[in-house]
Amino acid sequence: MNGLWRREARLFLRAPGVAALLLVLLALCGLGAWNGAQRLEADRSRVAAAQSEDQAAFARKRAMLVELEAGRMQEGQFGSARKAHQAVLSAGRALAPPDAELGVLSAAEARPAPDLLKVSFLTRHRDQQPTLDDPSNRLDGPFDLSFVATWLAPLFLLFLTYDVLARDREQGSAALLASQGVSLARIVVARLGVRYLAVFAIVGGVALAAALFTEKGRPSAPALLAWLGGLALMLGVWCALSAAINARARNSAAAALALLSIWIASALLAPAVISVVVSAVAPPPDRLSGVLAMREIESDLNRRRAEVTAAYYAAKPQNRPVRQGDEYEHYFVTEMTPRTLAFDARFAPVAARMDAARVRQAEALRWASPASPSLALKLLTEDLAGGAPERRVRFLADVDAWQARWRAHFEPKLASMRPLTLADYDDKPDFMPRPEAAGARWGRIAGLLAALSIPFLLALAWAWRALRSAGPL
Amino acid sequence: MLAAERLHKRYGSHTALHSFDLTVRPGEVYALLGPNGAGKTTTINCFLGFVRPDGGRVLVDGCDPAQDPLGARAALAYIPEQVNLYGWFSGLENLAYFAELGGHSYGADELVGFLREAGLEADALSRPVSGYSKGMRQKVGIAIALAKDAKGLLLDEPTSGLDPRASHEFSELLRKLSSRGVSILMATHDIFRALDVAHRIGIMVSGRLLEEMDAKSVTGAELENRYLEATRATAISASS
Repeated sequence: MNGLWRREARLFLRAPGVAALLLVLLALCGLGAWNGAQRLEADRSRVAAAQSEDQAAFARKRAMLVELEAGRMQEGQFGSARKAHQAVLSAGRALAPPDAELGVLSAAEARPAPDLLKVSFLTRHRDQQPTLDDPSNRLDGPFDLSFVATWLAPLFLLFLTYDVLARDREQGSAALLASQGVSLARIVVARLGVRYLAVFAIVGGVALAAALFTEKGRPSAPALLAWLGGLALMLGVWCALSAAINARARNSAAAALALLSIWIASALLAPAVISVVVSAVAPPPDRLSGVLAMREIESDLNRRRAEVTAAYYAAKPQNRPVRQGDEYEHYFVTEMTPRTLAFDARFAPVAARMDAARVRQAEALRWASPASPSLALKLLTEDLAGGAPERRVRFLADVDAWQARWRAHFEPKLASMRPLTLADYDDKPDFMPRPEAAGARWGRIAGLLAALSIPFLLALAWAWRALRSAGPL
Repeated sequence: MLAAERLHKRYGSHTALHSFDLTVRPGEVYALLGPNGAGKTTTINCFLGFVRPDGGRVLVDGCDPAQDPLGARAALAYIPEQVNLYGWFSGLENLAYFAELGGHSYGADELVGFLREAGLEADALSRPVSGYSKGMRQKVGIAIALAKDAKGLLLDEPTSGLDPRASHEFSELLRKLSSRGVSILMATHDIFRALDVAHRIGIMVSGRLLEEMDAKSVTGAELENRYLEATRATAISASS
């Protein structure tokens, strides 16, 4: 068997144009990986800069408080480190989800969105929803390794495999080949195997190198294995289809036409149909109704501002102001704070419905993905690169939880207009995003691998059946 | 070594072989003469297991290709009418490729020896086959058959495209192989070549073996007459 594969490898690599084609694929993979790495590094730098700026700003205020306490500084009208409304309302945290394992695979806007949220006491981070609620948007995106692996690698593989036997039949060399005493099925398998390994090694090798480079030599082995497994299954589908078509096709043009038709149906038409069906079955969150709900709540709270403030202090009498603030302070403390908290409480169910709709749609897409290996690999890549809606929902829940803790920490001081102490600065809550539960995360990945396995096994069964009866004539 | 027993093959409504019997003994060269569509290639394809007979059977060194095609092919070498090779490989590389597929691993000198024995010029050995003439490709095909070192050799119009000198050399080669005990079944239109090289000649028309004769018992003119009569008679009976 090894000898046969070695001979076929020699025949393949010496064929005209093959080396150039493989170099082009390598270059495209390299370009895709470069774009992914650039985007990843830019994101990381942006997050690091924003976080360090936040921490520095808060540290400056704390230092100012030390000076005030020591009497080395006079309290100014603005920027007081002692007055909660001045120290807290504009201060917050730049929050980002934990790094995805294979962010380098994707440079898409959807990847870690929302990847950086500036969250403070009053921030409505739920306003900043990304606009990628249409499933068809998941299929396009910038030129990255995900694009190359999903769309270009199968085309390269088909270009290299469409005529592995059909051309021999067309040229009349199939009979000479078959007369040598090795079954045509074995020859076809060896030829496809060599081509498959070449494409897999290039795409997988570049992905591995990119992950090693961007993760400082320590990429997540399970994530890498899962992605390489997905890539192997998707390329395997096309190899098996090529085997089945070559077992029957009388000439290379017919084989090319058949395979191209299957590719168009599977990689272009099926995702489009799936997108339409999924949008109908699990519609994306209705952003318009979200905005309208937001405006309605705002307008209602504005109309009833006195009532809202009264209700707040009635519910939290311990937070009643202990002194008379200026007009500015009074507005933020006694109006903005109760209204913001009331708004978030009323908007929470709307936000939860929007999150649930995103998750439902993502689940529906995954269920439909066996119909399109390209879509399944795209979803797998997106998930491993950090773009899964479930991850975004989880991150927003973490942000909500952090904001609740931040508010709980500063709200009594803010609403009561009591001065801040060093302890308020030092004990402020830190943001600790929780990684997704391994079961849910790997359940999704396993589901997508299973989704890729279904077309692979079907194509393999077809290829097996076709090759058993494949003859040279 | 090669035997067809009541071999029958249909393609749809067309009967390609009618209860066809044939035997080629070890060391014998058997020429199957017949017009286009007589069933010569179908017969060869049955021996190679490329075509499954509808009735009867063929045996290759005791092995039925319908049951064990790979076993039968292991005992056979085959030269098709058009030897199509991999154009980007040289003749030498093509020979190495096919020889290894046939289970033989030869050194470069041995491979060159086969090609030279088949009549390929030395300066052509390392040139890409895409630049070869039909006759040169045919010679590589012959070398592939020689390298396989099989007990049986099936030839489908082997001399078509060869110049007279190459055809003569080819006849010499067949005689040499025959003397080594190789059984040779050669489908051909070439009456002269059949008479020159074969021990026995069969005239095949419309899937039937109409006549079988000892090559030494007929002259070229007699063979031509008998061939023409057989084909004419079959054409008349088919049209009536």
